Amino acid sequence: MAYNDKVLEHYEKPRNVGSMDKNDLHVGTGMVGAPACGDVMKLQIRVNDAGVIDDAKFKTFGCGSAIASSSLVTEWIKGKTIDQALSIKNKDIAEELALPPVKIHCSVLAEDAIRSAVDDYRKKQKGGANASGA
Amino acid sequence: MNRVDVCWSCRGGVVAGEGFCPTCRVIQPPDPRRDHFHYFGLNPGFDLDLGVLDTVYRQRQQQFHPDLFVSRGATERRYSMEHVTRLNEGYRTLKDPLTRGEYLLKVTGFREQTPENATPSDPAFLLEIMEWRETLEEVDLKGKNAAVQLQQLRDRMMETCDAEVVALGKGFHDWFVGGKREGLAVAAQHTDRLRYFTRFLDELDRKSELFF
Repeated sequence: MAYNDKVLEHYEKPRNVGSMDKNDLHVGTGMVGAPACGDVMKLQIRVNDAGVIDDAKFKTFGCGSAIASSSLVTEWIKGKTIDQALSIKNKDIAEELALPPVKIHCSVLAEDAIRSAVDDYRKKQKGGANASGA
Repeated sequence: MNRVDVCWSCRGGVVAGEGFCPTCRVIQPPDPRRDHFHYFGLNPGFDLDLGVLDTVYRQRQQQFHPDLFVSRGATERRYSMEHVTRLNEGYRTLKDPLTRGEYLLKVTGFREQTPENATPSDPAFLLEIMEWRETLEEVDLKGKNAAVQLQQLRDRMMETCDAEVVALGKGFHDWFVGGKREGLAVAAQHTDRLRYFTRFLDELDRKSELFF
C-alpha cells in the first residue's frame, strides 16, 4: 500500500515514542487495541497543576497509519488542556494524514487512546484526592 | 438442508451443490448456499478432524481439477474453476483455528465482522499483549543470542496460542453441543485474543527471517 507523505514522515521519524511512569499521579495511561488487525496503542499524558498536558508519549505496535496517528496525536495534545485534547476527533487526524477509508480505524484508535488516557488520569486524581483526604 | 435442482445439461434431477449429475455425469455448479462445512461434508463446529478435511480436499481437487475439463465446453470449464476456488477458500478457512473461529462466528450469526476498534473492556489483556510486543522489541537483533531468544519467545507464544485455541474451542462446544448461546461470546473473545497473538507471531517471524 502506498502511504501518504505525512504518514511516512511520522512513521520514519515518530515523535514522542516512549513511556512514562504509569504510577505517577500526574500521568494518565491509555491503552487501546484493534481486534480486527491486532494493533495495540499506548498513549500516556502528563498533566501539570494548571491542567495542561505538558508531556505525551506513545508506543504503538501496528501498521504505519496507526503509528502515524498516535505520533501526530502526541504532538497535537502537548500544551493543550485536557478538554482541548478531548475535542480532537478522529476525523481531524484522518484528514491531516490523508488516511484512506480502510485506515480510518487507525485514527479512531488514536482518538480512543486520548480518551482512555484522560479517563485513567481523572480516575487517579479522584483516587489520589480521596486518599489524601482520608 | 439439501435442495433439489435441475441439471443444467440433461435437465434431470440433482442435489444442489453435488459435484456431478447422477444421470449424465456432467459437472454441476457449487451451491453458494452451502457453507464450508457442508461443502466438505463436515459437521459445523470448531473441533474438526483435520485428517478428514485434508482427505476430502485432495479428493475434490482431483475430481474438479481444471486439467480434466480442458476439452469440455465453456460452462463445464467454468464450473470446474468455481469448485476449485470454493475448495481452496473453504480449506484455507477451516484449516486454521483463527479463521475457522472467525468463520464460525459468522455462520452462527453471532457477528458478521470483527470489530475494528475495541471497547477498552479488557485493559489487562491489552497490557499483556503490549508486554509481549515490548519483549520482542527489546531483543537485540545484532546480539549473538538473538536467534535463541526469538525461538524461546516463539515457543512461549505458541503455548499461549494453544491455550487460546482450547478456550475458544470450549466456547463453541458450549454452543454447538450444549446449546448455550453465551458460549459464542466466550469464543469471540478468545478468537480476538488469538488474532492479537497471531499478529505478534507474524512480527516475530519477520524479525526471525533475518537469521535464515
